[in-house]
Amino acid sequence: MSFPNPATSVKLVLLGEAAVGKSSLVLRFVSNDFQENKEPTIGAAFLTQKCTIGSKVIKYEIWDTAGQERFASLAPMYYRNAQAAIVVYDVTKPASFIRARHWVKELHEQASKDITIALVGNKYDLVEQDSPEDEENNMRKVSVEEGQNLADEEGILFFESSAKSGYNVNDIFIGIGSKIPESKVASSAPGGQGSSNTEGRIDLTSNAANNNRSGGGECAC
Amino acid sequence: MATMLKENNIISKALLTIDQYKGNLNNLKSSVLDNEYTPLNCPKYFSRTLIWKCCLITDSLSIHNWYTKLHDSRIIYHQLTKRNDMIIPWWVLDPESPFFQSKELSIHNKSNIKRTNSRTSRSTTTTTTNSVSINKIPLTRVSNIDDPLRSPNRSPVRSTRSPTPSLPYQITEEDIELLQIIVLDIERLFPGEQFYQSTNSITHKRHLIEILYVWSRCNPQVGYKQGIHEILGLFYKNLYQESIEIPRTNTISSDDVKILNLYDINYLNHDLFTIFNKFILTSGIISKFYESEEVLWKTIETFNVYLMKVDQLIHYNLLNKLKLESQLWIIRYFRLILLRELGNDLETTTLLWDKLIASPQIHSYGGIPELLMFMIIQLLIQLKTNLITCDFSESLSLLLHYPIQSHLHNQLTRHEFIGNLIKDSLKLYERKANDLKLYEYGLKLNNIYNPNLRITMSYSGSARNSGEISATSSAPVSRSPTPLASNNTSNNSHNSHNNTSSSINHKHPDPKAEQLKFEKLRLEMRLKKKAQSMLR
Repeated sequence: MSFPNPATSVKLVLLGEAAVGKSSLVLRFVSNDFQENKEPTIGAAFLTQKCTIGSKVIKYEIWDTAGQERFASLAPMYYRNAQAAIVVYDVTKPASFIRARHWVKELHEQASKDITIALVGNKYDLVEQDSPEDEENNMRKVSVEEGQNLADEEGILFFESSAKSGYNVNDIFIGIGSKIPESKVASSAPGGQGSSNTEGRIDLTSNAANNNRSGGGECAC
Repeated sequence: MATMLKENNIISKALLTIDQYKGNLNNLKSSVLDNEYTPLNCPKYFSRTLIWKCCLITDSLSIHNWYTKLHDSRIIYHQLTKRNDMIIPWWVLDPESPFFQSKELSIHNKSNIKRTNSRTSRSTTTTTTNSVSINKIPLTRVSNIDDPLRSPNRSPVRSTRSPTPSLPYQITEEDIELLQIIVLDIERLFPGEQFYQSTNSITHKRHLIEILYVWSRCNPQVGYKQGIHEILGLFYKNLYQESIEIPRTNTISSDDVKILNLYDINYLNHDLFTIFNKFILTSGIISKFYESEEVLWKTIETFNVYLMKVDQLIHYNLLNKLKLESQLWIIRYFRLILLRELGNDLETTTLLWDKLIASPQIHSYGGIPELLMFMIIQLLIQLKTNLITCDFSESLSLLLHYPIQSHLHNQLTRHEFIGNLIKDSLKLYERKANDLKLYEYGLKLNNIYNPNLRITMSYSGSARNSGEISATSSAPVSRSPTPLASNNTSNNSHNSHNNTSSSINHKHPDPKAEQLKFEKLRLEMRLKKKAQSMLR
């Protein structure tokens, strides 16, 4: 097997409160589709999607976690080896923003040091009709500034998006892909990724490619 | 008249079934398990309500025993819903929610009921929880929410106390949160099911919310967990469809009334509550899969050990070669009892659950969870060729999107698939205490489901060619000092900060883990030797 343009595997995890639209963002990104009333994720879901950014091809391995899951060690299982994380909140639900703040903090404390994080305020479509004069009745409950400030404080990416309309969804993944340092996968690979529990063979392939070794032998299966 | 037809139809089905099985519930149960009493085989007299309610409520196929048993069970839910602390605070919902009801209306149907001691079922922590003025909730809610990540348990809410005159029980912030999360999930219940998208669906959903709310309040140690709503949703749909309004006439014989009583739509929620509670709580599903993280890991570990005993190659490939820990995919299998793995409609799952309910395991604590483990193992064996040749992400994709469609071509293949699934898992369950028998039955299953798969055992010890289908028998032992138990291997060659399970390990005492590891290593070596000798 040989790939003309070897894809770099990036493990990405989605975190956030229940029903903020994590699975819907993934569905929009992977299938360009949207389902009203998507059922809750139980445990976690796993999807892959390739994404071309300039000359770089990234294969996202996306872990979509359950929002209600409050088990202490379940979420870490998914974000432990992640190179990227998307922390999602709902711009109409202040509680989800509080939760997002905690996720960002937890990621900085517990996840890999050079993890690339994006904070995403989803359901932008619901606030498009808001008028600036009538703040009382506006759907929006978390302002752009609040989101941007948190992202700035934490030094992470920030987007507002709508999985329903598709607004900004691809930009999140492109933004993450552009920010992930090219050297990062290679440098952390030999000790870290290669022997990690969850990466498996995919990673060997990408490591081999990044180390300029021949990947052919590693990925035969 | 359509309704009369439905009654006659139900009476006739029940009588034919009772006659067929000579009034003996055990005969009916065997027939369900043997894949004989199915909608396909007995279109004239198959009744799901009859299986479910007779197995889980009346415990008898004799109609004369039904009335008392049903009454005793129905009164429990009746009394629960009349308690003041079980009033559903519909009025705290968004006024635009289809489930919103004024406070007066929400309380109205309880008002003529004598007040009972309203807090007996609450845990001590919650009874002392501060209450909040229900009028102020929308304003105070956000700022009062405690850190949801750090406080998984109910925590006191800092807020003003202000008594609500009409209610002796104070609705707490936790109650509101509970209702809101249940509503959130019920609103998006089975988006693909017509039944839950129809014009009546709001009524159905309101019943489901009520049952879940009451159940969660009765079981504060678990509360509401995502997933149980789908279990209840499947039960509700099936029972509702066979339920009827009992006509108020004198023309029905007393025996017929006894039969119709089983199908009485006015007691649908009551019976559902009992069935739901038996299915998830007394069976051990809640405690093994939902209640505590620690128990869930242990359950998964039990599964890993059974998998290794039944099919060493799959176990080796997933857990050792690919390092694909079972907890990455199995939680949904467990919690939803295969509901999302068996196709997009609920029909296949329902066929399977008929059998779970008729199985003897439903009456023994932990029985259904273990039976489920063997069903999953059987499903993996059917997928074996793929599982031992795919890479990490392909295997994971297969496990999280089980290729079920090939089994669902038509009603016959669907029934056969479910019949085999339950038959094989019951056989494995019978053998669960005997490693050798499990191993032998594993071989048998492989002969059935993978007749063309030739696995050659080379006992060379080099075992580097693990990508091939051959030469895997000795690999686990030679490759790593701790070939098994991804959960418990903290101090092996993986560097610890990258080990996905290191945080789990700290919680388990090491000696126990070590012992478990040793036991499994020993068992595996024994199995390898046995395998080798059999193949010579």
